[in-house]
Amino acid sequence: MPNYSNPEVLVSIDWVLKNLDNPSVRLVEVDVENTAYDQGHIRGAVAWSWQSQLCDRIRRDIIPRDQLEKLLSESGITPETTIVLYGDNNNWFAAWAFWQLKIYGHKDVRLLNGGRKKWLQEGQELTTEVPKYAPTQYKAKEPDFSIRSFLPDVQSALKAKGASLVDVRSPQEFTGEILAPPGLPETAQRGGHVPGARSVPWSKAANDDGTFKSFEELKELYAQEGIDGNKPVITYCRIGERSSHTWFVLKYLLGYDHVTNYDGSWTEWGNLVGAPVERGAAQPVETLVAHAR
Amino acid sequence: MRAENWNRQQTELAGWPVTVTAYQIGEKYITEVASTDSGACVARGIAATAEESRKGAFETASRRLQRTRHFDLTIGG
Repeated sequence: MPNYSNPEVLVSIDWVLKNLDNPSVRLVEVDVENTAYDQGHIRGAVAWSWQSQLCDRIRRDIIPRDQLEKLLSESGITPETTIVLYGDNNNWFAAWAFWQLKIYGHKDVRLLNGGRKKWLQEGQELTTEVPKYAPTQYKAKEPDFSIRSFLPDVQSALKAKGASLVDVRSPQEFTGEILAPPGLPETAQRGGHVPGARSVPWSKAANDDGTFKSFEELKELYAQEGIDGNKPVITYCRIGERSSHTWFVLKYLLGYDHVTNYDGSWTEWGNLVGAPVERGAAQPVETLVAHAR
Repeated sequence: MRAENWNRQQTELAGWPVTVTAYQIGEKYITEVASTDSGACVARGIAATAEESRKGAFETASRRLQRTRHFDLTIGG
């Protein structure tokens, strides 16, 4: 994976094929739920369901440390394991899992470039056999929230103009024409975006086959919106999974230092009483620069 | 076993642009409908034939897409 700032966090299909029997590597398919996995998955991969295993749906939060330890232990993972994540929905939920594993300090986490889509498209081998691994006693680190933004962080950044906000939803969600991706549940009372946010849909970072665009293309894509790594960046979407994808791009592929994922996202902001909201298209970058002077 | 006859096409369903991906794994036929602009999977159909799979995915996707509301940006509230 040449040119990326941290090329080691992406693996290719060839790399996976060469490491299918490597005991220090654990493949994990991360989907919203396990239907796709059950139809066929990469040999040796375990399944993690975003809905039931990676979210605390009561608190609307990432899972607590003890639950993550249980999940990793049941998956036969130790702190030394290389975890390779892939999934459907263009690796959105795999990227969420990557972000969450980094919060809990797992050292070696990687994404399969192109995810499940590319694996299927290339006609690579699949199995329905569910692997069994000897359970471990995984001990996670204290959560590192330096890669996560909470609501007060976004409010402070907005007030102080201290960070660039990147809204990675579709253009119609950004303008407020719709409240959620077509066909999915509306989770906010109103539409629009956080004032000053730049609209860079997650899909612009990906090729048709689900792989990431080149370093040069990505750098240009975000630079056009004034995001060049010189200022902290906060990514958000509707529930935090698409923004994990963009967080991964900015943090690891472009190597920008201060990038956080606001997983409260539009579901939180769009329901707040008294929070400022902009509707319609984003202001041109030049306008924002002029206002900042 | 592998995904066979993998194909993808763009079309419109219930007034929304969608991307339809269809393939076969073993004896199962799978059709996935995603909204093109967001990339989100709206429905998945799994059946013993390609036609049934497509029909199931399209019915579910149509029902869900029809529920999506458009808001007039010129009106507050």
